[in-house]
Amino acid sequence: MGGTEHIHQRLIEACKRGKDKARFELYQLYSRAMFNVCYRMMNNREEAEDMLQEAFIQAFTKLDTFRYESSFGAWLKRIVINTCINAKNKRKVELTYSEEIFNYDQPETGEDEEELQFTVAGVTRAMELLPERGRMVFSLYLLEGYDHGEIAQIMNITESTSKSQFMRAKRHIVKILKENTGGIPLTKNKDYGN
Amino acid sequence: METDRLEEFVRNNRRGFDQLEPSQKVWENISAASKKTKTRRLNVYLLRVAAVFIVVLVTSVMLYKSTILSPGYSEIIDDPEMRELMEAETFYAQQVSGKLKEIRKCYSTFPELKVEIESDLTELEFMYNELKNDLRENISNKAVIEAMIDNNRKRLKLVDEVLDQINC
Repeated sequence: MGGTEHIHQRLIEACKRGKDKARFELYQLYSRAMFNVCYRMMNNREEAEDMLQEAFIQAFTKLDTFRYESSFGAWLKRIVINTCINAKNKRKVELTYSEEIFNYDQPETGEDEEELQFTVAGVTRAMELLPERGRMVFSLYLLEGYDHGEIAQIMNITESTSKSQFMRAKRHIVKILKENTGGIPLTKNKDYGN
Repeated sequence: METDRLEEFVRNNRRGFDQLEPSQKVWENISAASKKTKTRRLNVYLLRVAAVFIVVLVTSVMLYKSTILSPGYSEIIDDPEMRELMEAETFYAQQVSGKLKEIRKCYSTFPELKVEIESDLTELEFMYNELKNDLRENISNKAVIEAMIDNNRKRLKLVDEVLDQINC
């Protein structure tokens, strides 16, 4: 956390004063990253857009409370994730049921591991097939950069649940990739391959 | 372990995972919603201004009522002697200040004048304020009022005399 975190201070101050142009600029700066966060949380494009919209409206309304204690991105991301979690909690029934559909506690075979090539598209697709909680924990930990303590707080679960969900999710993604490709990447994209 | 390789792969390709773009309509909705809150904010601001205005208005009306229309004050206005005193006070004050202005123009020619006349006037004013206090305490009204008018006359006389003496 250095001097860069207040890089948009002027812009943020202009937004606080209600300048439309500044708001649009701030939106352009963060909307793409935040939309992808929404998508990973909701697993649905339309719902992700709704969440993005709601989160930005909320952020602009309570921008006065942003005091540069964290980076703006981190502040906004927290609003985005909370918006998504709240929306998900409204439909909690779906969330709990989805856990039982997959049995992803199988031990790893681990024999033909040199075969598997990861690609961004392949991993993204596999993430979409994960059960809700596993997908959330996986993206919150690996992509959004929260630790298990923070995830526990965000998702209202214990830290050890977060850790075990993450382990399962990783194994599950590997399994999906193997099943779907037979060792061959879903999309051949040399830029992302190992 | 493949899971570790997966973790490493995701970390190394973090940027690649932000591929999707939201559609145009998201901003349109946000912008429309923010405009709504903006007008609401403006209304809140106007309401605040109106509230402050009303408070100021009410206070000044109450103040007016409690001082000008208080029994003591209305008595003063009703009493013809008092009214006369007030009128006299305004008349003399105007005269004195007008003549003092003339005198002040001559301060550059007669610098010693300034100290003399202004200290005399201050003294008279001080006495006048004492009388005013007496009047408020209702000490022998008639005598006090006469003294006050006399004080005013003295001040006018003072500036008149000075004006006659200096010719500049």
